[in-house]
Amino acid sequence: MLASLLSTFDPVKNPIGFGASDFIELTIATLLVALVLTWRPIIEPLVRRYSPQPSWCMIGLAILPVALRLALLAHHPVPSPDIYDEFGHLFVADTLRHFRLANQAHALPQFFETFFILQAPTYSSIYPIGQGIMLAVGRAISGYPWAGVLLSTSAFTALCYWMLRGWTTPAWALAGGILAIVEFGPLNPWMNSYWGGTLAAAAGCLVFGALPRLTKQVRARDALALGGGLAIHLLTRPYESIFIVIAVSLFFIPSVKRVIGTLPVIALVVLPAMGITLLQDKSVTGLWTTLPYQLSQYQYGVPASLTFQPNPIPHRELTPQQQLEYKSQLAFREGDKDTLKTYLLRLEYRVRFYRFFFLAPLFLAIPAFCFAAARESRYAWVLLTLLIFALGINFFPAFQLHYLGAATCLFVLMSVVGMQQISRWSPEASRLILFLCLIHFVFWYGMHLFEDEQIAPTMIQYETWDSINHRNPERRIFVNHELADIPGKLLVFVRYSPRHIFQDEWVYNEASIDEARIIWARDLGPRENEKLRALYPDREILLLEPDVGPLPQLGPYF
Amino acid sequence: MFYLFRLFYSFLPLHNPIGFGAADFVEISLALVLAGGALAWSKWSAAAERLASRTAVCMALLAVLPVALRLAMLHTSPIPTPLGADDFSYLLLGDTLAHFRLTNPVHPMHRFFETFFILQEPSYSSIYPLGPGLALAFGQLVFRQPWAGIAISTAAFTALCYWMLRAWTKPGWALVGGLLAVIQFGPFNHWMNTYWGGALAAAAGCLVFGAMPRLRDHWRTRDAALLGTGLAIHLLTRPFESIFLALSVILYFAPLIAERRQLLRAASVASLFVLPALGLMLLHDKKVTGSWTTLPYALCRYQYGVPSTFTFQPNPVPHNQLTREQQISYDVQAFVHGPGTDTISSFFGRLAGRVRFYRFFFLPALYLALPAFFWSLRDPRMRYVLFTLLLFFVGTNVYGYFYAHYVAGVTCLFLLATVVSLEHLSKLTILKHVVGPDAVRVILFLCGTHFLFWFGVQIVSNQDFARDLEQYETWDEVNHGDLDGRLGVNRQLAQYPGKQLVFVRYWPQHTVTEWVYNSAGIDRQSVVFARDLGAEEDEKLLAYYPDRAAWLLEPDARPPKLSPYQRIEARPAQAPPEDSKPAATPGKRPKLRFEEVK
Repeated sequence: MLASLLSTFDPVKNPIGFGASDFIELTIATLLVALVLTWRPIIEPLVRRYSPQPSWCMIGLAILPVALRLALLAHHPVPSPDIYDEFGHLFVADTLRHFRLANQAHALPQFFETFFILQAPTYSSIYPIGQGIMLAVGRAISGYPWAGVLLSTSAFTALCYWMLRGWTTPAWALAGGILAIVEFGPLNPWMNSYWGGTLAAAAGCLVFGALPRLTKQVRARDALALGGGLAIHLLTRPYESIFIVIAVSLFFIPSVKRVIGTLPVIALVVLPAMGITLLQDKSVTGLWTTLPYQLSQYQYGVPASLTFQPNPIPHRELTPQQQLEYKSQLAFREGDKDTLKTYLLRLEYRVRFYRFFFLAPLFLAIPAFCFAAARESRYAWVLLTLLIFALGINFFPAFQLHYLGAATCLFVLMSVVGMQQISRWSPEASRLILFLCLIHFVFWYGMHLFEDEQIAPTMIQYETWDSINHRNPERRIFVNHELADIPGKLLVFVRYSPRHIFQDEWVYNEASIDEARIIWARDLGPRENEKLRALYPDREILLLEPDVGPLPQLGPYF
Repeated sequence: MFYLFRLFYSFLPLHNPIGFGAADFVEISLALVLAGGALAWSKWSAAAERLASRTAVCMALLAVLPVALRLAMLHTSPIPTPLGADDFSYLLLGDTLAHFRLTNPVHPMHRFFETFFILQEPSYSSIYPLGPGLALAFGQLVFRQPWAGIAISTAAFTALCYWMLRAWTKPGWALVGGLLAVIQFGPFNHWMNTYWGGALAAAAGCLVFGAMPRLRDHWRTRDAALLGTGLAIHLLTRPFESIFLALSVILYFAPLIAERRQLLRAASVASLFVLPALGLMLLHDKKVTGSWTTLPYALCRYQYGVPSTFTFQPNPVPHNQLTREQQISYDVQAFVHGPGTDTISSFFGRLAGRVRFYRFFFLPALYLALPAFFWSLRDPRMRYVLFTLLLFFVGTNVYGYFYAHYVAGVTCLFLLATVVSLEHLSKLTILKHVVGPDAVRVILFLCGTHFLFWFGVQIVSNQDFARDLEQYETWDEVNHGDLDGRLGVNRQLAQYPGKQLVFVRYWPQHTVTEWVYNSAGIDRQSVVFARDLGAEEDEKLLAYYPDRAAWLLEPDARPPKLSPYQRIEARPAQAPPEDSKPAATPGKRPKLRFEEVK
């Protein structure tokens, strides 16, 4: 019967005369009415009862995103890494799994040249270790690094509620926690890739949740939370930690005398994190004060430098792909020198990315938050902090959403306070905005859960800013399946065609190359390749040509 | 304003200045209306309640609203261009009446003017009943624009809908019903954007169903007169469905048989209005067909085999020689009718298939409220409403085709069922919490959002995104552009001075889209459209109109090709290319058609 109803979206042929938009309208209406009908008798009493109980709320908010994501596994399996940043973080995790901060340089590193991985003086990822730690933990617990991503997300959603409890009423804090799941949960790119985002966001929750608590009452627990947040953030996003520290300092200015005593406690947590960072620098680059990231800039010219710095110049011979990547990163910058105009133009352009942090209905809460900020200085501070982040990361020519990870809870706070303000004018209005956010989630979640082959592809083009491994790297999965069927140890030479898309890199290896079952190596020509073959005489040699057809071609190497 | 425009520059989130995709814009619109509605409700609900009690003000408001909104869309959706055969036939009727005639004399060259749903003999006339033509004639005479009659009919319907509902429900709900009428049957509706009528029969239904409860309560002459007026207008508009309307009226008053005196008096007053209408109908029959009891419609069926017969009757047999296009039309209608007469199975199969067409009368969000109507069936009045709707539903099913205006007379009952459902839903309590009002408000806000969203799309419909969105606008029909090129042809012809004669030549693959339509006074028209009957025959018409410039129109070319008509002596041997298929009509949106072809 239901199938018959959905058999066609041509109104004149549909059994009840409904077109696609009618079904959408009816679905929205049904969900909205269901929420309205159950709000007073069921939902509101439950919220009143449970929202003041932090343990229950945090446990619930921690479990929910993970449970919801796992329920989608049938259609959306564990994400496969595809982008080189993902491989970079996974490489950190693999290195840490071996209880190392760096790996010994390989004897023939020229075969393993890839993106964002140093070959000398050590074989290492260029990334800080925060995200890698989580991925390593995930792999240790479940065998899947992705479990670490799930853990980070559940930590973030739970801590978001905790953070909001420091700023608003328990009911609104719970609403914020649910919004965090809706926005940054199972459908979000942070939960469906290895780039990170939620770990920095969880760190932000600890920092921004501890601040109001410390101004109310100076407790060691809150100082530890603040220090913990700062430490995690430092290990995850060192550059943006500068802005967090500025924001924290600004927050404490009015109550500096009260909170100064907490500094030793904060330092107790932050200093070890700084120590780990320095140790990683030393282990990877050989220098205490040179970040792996900086060394990569020196050697490969990437990642791009900050816009007030000169363009980096590579000091290594680059592969053709690395050369193109270097050029593409140079192209992020409009010219050699950033001017006020280019800086502001970039800032304006980036406004679009903030949609990631607000569902469309929550845009109505933003003006209401500004209204509240005009009346309460602590909310004005929130705006100032977000401005510092926006201005600060604008010095980097590229933009990724996880750069702002730490401020995520502040965006949620803006939404919640905005809705709280609207509820003072009309409780129904703010309820309806919240309901629309829930409906947004239920609608798209349902679409992914039941993933109808006919409807989903048409609909999903309208799902903005979510990313649930729809573009799963099918080609990589295909090759991995092929390789899984071949027994024994393998050495795969990767040969790119002249029309190869440079970002589509295939040479990624484990931390211990020699011990890996599959070694991926660049095809450097028969004579050079012989050197590697000689190094691995017991391995079956294969040739992968990723560019030959819709699916890569894998065959024996002759 | 520039920045506002830039917001819609792209619906690709990464290209959009605020990162919005199409779905985001829909969501924020929804949020704006819902939250704005909630804010407005908290401030102005009491004022709205007071307004709802002021009948005259509400009626005036509801009359003005659909017309004003439609006029506001004129820059993107101009006055509708007639397209279908029905449109032209109704316009001919309107034009005939505007000349203070019931029919027109036969044209001596009438075989050149053969078309659909228009009789050539014994008089040149539309086959349709007078009602919609009267509205069009009124528009033509008073505003020099027949469509004004359509707009006025719609205004009458939306205003009278509120008046009708006042007799059945509370003022507040009546106003809600009136506003729903504007949303559903107003500026975007098929009835307001074609010349087929619908709103006039709907207005007549309002008079009938609004007068009955008032009459039962007070037995006032005024209400009897209104009842009679409603019946009369409906009779002149939809004679067949008037049978069901009359049955409904009888059924309503049947329990009051004891009040015989009052009933008789009301019936006498009502018949003072119905009988003249009946007389007018008979006179119309006589004038058009030459027989008092033969409807033009029936004569058309005899002559051309269309419109199709009822499904319990055999297929009609044409008695005139049909043009190729008329033959195709006849074949299609005969196919829809089926070879024999109806069986129980085919009757119910068709009935089930027609459920879909009732979406025309209910916005999607209202489907949530409709189950609540069954709670109201404890009230005998609501049982009567349900029975009447079923009567129309089943009654109109004996005809092979279905168009929403067939049941237009009960449109107000659909609205009544809607508001009664909403009223019942508003009383809903769950676990001792009164939750119904919130749910009803949300449903109404969603209806409002639906309307405002599409209204917004309509008023910017010259934008690409609006055109892309229109494919999702179901059951509405607003005219944009020049669907089959008629406006272009008319514009071309208007550039030339003097009188014109246009021979229409169809290519071999042409189906039924007709171009030969003329007004009531063919000879006085500045442009006469005629069928191309071949060079020799055409010469006769050319001789008949020696002072007209002759043109050849080939509507199957894309765009339709208008060229000077080459007479025999000047014409090279030519034939339309055999392989030139008529291009698909470059429609900018799918046209809604009811069971046109099965």
